[in-house]
Amino acid sequence: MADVQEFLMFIVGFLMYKELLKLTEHLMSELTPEPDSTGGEKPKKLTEHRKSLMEENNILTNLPVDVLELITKGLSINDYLALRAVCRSCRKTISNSIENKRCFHLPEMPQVFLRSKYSRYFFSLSKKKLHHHRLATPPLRYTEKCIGSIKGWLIMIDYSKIDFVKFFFLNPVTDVKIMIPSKLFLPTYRHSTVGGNIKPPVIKMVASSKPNCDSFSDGHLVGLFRDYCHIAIYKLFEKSWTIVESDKDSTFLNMEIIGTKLYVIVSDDSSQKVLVYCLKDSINGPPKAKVLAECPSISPSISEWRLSFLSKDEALRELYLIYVFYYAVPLNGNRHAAPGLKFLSECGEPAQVTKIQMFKLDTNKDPIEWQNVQLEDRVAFVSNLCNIVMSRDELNCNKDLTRGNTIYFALHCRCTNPWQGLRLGMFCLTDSSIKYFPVEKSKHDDDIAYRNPPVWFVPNLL
Amino acid sequence: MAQEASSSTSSKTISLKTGDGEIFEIEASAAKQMKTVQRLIDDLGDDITIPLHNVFSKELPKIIEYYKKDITGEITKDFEAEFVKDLNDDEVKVLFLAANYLDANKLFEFLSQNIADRLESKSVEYVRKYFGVENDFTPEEESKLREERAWSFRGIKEDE
Repeated sequence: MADVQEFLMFIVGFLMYKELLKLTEHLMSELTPEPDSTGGEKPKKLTEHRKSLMEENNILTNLPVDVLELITKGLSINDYLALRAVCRSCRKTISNSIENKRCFHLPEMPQVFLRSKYSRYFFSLSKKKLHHHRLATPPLRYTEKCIGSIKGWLIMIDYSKIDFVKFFFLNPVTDVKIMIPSKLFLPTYRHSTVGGNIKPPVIKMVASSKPNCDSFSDGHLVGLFRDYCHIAIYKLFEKSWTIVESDKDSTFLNMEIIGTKLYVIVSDDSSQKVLVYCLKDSINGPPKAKVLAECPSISPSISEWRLSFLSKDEALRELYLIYVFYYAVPLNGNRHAAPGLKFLSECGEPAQVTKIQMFKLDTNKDPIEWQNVQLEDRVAFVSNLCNIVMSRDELNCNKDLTRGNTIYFALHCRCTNPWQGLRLGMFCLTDSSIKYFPVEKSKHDDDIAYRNPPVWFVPNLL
Repeated sequence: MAQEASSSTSSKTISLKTGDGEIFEIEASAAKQMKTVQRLIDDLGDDITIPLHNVFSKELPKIIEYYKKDITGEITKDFEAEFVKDLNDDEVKVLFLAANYLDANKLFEFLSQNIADRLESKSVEYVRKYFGVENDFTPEEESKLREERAWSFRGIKEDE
């Protein structure tokens, strides 16, 4: 047996090196002593012989796919996708790889998704700039809005109809849409009309996993209603929606799903706490909540506001509580959305982030408490609609770009000048320093700032 | 990573003959890292000169240099940076192919990353030129491709 194997290996080796002999012969003859810096055009008419040699000796097309993957592994998504335009055979290889979910490229840094009426904008951390994509595909409709994100997918709501809303996932890199089959009917919660504009009834949504992976069919979606008193839970397996109402005089603020547990921040007049719902066993009616822990009561100072977010470290399945404090002076009093829930109405001056704090649960204490933490070698991305905590190793970037123990924020606080309402920047937990990223006003789309609150997402092909 | 030299081959050197007739010596433990060479040694014995028809005197010394450092465990980021610093694109390509032929994994992976770095943000024309590939799209197809994914055609570096 071993002899046959060895013999076969020898044959393969022999054939391989015959191929490569031709290849290197060709390469040696093509190599010029100095690289042609003028980039002169190749003569238009290649002789047949040279043409066929070139085809045969083409690294890109003749190398086995797993060897090519070693090269593409070091390329960013941009460069990886650009390979499809090199030649037909390249295009085929790359398209096949994407289809087989075997596309290897460098992991991307999270970007901020913003939209205006006609375009999608992305703020890239590596370039610290807004760039936008005028796509050949039709732009998002007026009644489609992004209300969350998970990995490389944006969670979108379609609120074009009066009686129900639909949701879908959108991958902005590949433009693939995955629809959620069941409509969510709105029995008593009508669209609120403010100044003639119809607003989406569900303002935020989280998902248990990204849409095209195996665990998705068992997963959940949870959406927060505009009244802050109701959440809608969707079980993908049963294709059914359940609506849960908050207790009297308390409101839901934010939520996060880890596995089959749903964590929700509720607020009433006196305090905030985190509730946990077990999504798995809700055979008899809607899931019941258990109080997980009271939120640390760190009150904002005068003219300071506090936002409370939940986030998770996907890899470690740990829950974080994030407080963002910012200083803002409202122009005309405050907006009351619900009992105990005061919202900042429009400000004249842009909001200033004063500090950000992160907490993790300390299960050793009884009752369970939150403890202030440092991120160390992890990085957090905070926005109104989506919060991500990642390890620096997962990020492809110049290591100077993401220092550890740093929180990147993309917040929107209403301001008379909408562009100034966009606050993008970074907060360092070590020394509490803040740096803002300038967002230049775009020539074309003035309504970018309030068309959609900013959302972090991690560009990905899958 | 230093390879543990087995007692029988610890101080032995192997003779390699390139396609253009030159002979180079390498330590047997370095030869072990190049699977193709090792196979030839296993078939032909380690006393005779191993012929490498596809590797030439231009690149073999560089490869030997790399593995010399490897067996003493001295490969650092600085060494790797120095190693490729003065190589032009074609030289890297030739080394890459040679490493592939020799089945020299470590060098091969390192060079793959280097090629990826050299291609970063380059235009499609540059990539074609680099790999010696013909553009077989029609002009209409090509303009459609450029529109297709705006992600791909932004932020292109100037061709060097």
